[in-house]
Amino acid sequence: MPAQAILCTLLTALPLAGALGIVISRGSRNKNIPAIIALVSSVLASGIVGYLWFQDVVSWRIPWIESAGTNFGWYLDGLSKLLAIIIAGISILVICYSSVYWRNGAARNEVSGKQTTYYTATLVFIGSMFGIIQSEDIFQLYLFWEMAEIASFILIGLNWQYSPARQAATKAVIIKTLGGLSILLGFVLIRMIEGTSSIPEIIERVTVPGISLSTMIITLLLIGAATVSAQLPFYVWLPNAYREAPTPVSAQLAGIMDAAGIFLILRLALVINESVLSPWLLIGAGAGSMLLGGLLALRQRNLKRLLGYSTISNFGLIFVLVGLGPGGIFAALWTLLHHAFLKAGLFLSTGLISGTGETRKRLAGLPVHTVLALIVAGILALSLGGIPPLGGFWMKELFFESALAGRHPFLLASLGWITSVLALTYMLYFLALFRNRIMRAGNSPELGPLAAVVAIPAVISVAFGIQPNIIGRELIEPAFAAVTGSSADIDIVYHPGPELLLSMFAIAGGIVLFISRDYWLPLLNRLTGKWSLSDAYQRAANSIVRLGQLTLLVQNGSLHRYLYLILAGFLAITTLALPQLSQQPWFIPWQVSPLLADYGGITASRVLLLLFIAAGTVMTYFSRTHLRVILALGIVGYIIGGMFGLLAAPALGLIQVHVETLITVLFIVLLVRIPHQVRQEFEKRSRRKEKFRAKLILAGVIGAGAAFLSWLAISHQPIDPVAAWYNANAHNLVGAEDIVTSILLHFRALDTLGEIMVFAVGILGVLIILRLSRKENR
Amino acid sequence: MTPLIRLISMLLFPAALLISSSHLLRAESGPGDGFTAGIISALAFTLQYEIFGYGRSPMRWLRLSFEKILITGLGLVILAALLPLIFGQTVLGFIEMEITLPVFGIFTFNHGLLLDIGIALVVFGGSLAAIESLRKKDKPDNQQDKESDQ
Repeated sequence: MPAQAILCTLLTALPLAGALGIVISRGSRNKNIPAIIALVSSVLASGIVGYLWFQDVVSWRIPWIESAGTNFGWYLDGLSKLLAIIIAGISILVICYSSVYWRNGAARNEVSGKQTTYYTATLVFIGSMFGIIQSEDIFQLYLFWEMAEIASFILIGLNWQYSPARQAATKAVIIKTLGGLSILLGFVLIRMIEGTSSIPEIIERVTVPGISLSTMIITLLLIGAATVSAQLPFYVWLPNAYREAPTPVSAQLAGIMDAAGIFLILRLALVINESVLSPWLLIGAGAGSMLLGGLLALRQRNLKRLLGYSTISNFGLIFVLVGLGPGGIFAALWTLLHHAFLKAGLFLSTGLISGTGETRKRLAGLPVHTVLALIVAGILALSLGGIPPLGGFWMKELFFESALAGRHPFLLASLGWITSVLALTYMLYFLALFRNRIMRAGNSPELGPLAAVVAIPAVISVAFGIQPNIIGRELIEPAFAAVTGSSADIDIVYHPGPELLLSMFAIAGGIVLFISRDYWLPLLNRLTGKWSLSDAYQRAANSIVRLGQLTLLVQNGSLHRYLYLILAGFLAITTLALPQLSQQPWFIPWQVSPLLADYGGITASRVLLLLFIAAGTVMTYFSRTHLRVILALGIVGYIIGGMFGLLAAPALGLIQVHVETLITVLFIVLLVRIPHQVRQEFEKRSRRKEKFRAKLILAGVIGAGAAFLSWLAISHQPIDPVAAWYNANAHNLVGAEDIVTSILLHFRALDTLGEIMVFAVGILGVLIILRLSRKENR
Repeated sequence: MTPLIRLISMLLFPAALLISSSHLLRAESGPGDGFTAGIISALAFTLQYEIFGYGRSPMRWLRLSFEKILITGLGLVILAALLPLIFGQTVLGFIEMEITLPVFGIFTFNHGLLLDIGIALVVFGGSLAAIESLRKKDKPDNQQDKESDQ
């Protein structure tokens, strides 16, 4: 493995190993170990990212699933490196923040004792994201995609004891997994059409002009990307998820996870623009999200929900830019990089209002911590609102430039203008809310370090604003080259032009809207309150749950009913099959089984054993006490085991005897638990023979039916008994001499897997019920 | 319980454990597989519990958590199912490894062994967990009386 490939492997493996390390060190005395491991892993990973930044493109693979032609490997180009910077940077930020944040009193109540889970899931998330961006094969990408989704599910639902958190996490994972399935479908189609599943090869093939992946594939992939990046109409999971998740988790999600969807699209950006329909899908979904996100953000009172809708709007902007083709991709990449840090910083800043302590120092009449928090949050919020000279200003400028240069400039530019106005409005509103909350919040020793961590994205945003060109040339150029195969000659400087005009007007409009918000806010509430996509989703989910409740018709908890249903079903099937069977040419109902002759025919010992079995069965009818019934059943079981042994089925006989013993013991232990009086009461009731005859007849009929069916099955052997094949091949294929075991463990291992899981789940269910009932009795 | 029965059950305990491990290791050379291994060892423990009462049975002084054994076994089974994926096979595909040990010679490991051990643990842990949680706890530590017949 070349050195670069080793580094790439480490990039994914280090966080995952860290996660394993945290799990192993669970229960150790030092409570800080998870945080330390997480920090070390992310710093090491960032170091690797920094080193790999200066290397050439890495492309390496080994065969993995030979039969499907799938490989496992790493493909690291400019786009991957850009995303790697985002992931590494945000993960360090978030982990530093978390290690201080959980020591705060209020936050501690939020996630007490769950730090192990949090850090483990975070590391798995980071590792899978690194895996996604450098996957060489599309199915490998899908594997890491699903891993990241599961990790994000755990992270969103970290406070699982609260129902809103559970619901938010469930909603998120359902929508995103459906998107993941759509992606898988798209990947399978790609594999079938292009004949390869290796990403560099796919990119090569489709850069030949004139060839493009079919529109359907692109649509499927777009759906998947849209679910993860929360675009219309799949955005319903995001606002609640961001709100219910702990603050650092929201920051991670906003910065990293949503970028995965964009990554997927950018990987195939060239391809998308070949097709006619796809840019319109992108632009449509993006435009809708931009507007809707912006509008809905205006009426939020919860800081994190507001930021969530803002994220929807921002990602809509990026989608539109990607849809505009090569012209917009530079802007999209620049926005992606900047937005990741900006949003993460904003989310982290909402954690600054959770202090509960006393304030002492004052600065300009306000407590120190308030001033600090206001400064950092202010920088971040104003940047997102598009105020120069901060980075967000260039976000809008670049958008306007690309929009005016592309198709339908007027439409898109107005769209962008409206969104910018909305963005500034809701960001000012965010600041107002923030200011209110922080005035009322107390101080705590952690706020200083926390504010320092939040200051980093603020500084980054200022840097983006002051020197956008350097950033563009150093960081974005390589990624742009990787995506489009050409170089962008874009100079980001202040120049008078329509874009500057639009931005200035947008700022003015935003300020005006903010000041006048008391006038239009009720109208907005009334318009958007009536119908929302979330309600539609909720109604759909409820109707599915109600459909599931139909099973209560059958499963009503009564053992009698279950038995009746099973036996009656069996009877029905036999009766229905009989006419079919009797028409088969080989069906002779009264023939004696030829097998019987092979195994020695009807001997006296066998007849005797059969009589004993019959006697035992009859004894169950005449038994008056529970114990006698159990013992009688035990006798029957043992004799059947003996029969198996005599009929050359030693494995079956072994199992039968042992299981019979175990079950008899279980029954007797159970019997002892039932109070004496209750038992006697039931035994007296059974003497009264009500409905006994009916049960006897039913049992007799079903028993006769089962016997008849077995007789038929044994008497009519197929032409090719399966045993011959196993006899010939079992040893060669799996090295086994005992065919039964080889079938259990190899040929039919899936059935064994299912059976053992049923057994385990059954026992666990019983144990839980017993434990619950014991708690109630106390 | 007469001293004879106690003696026999004391002798049977290690013998049963031996037989069950032999079923595990020789799963594919004769009757008996992971399932019977689990059952036989569970029965061995149950016999001790019946004869000597809970207080003096290995169920108690070994201090095993049977639920954890059950869950470990389940995890092992799932691991055995997914392990072939790493080697490029399908789920529950076939892996065979040969290891040469200095004294014992060549050992052929079959991925079925992993599945077998998992099944044995599940059955063992599950049955004993069920029996242990069902037992009556208010009896002192002597033998359990079976109900007398009427």
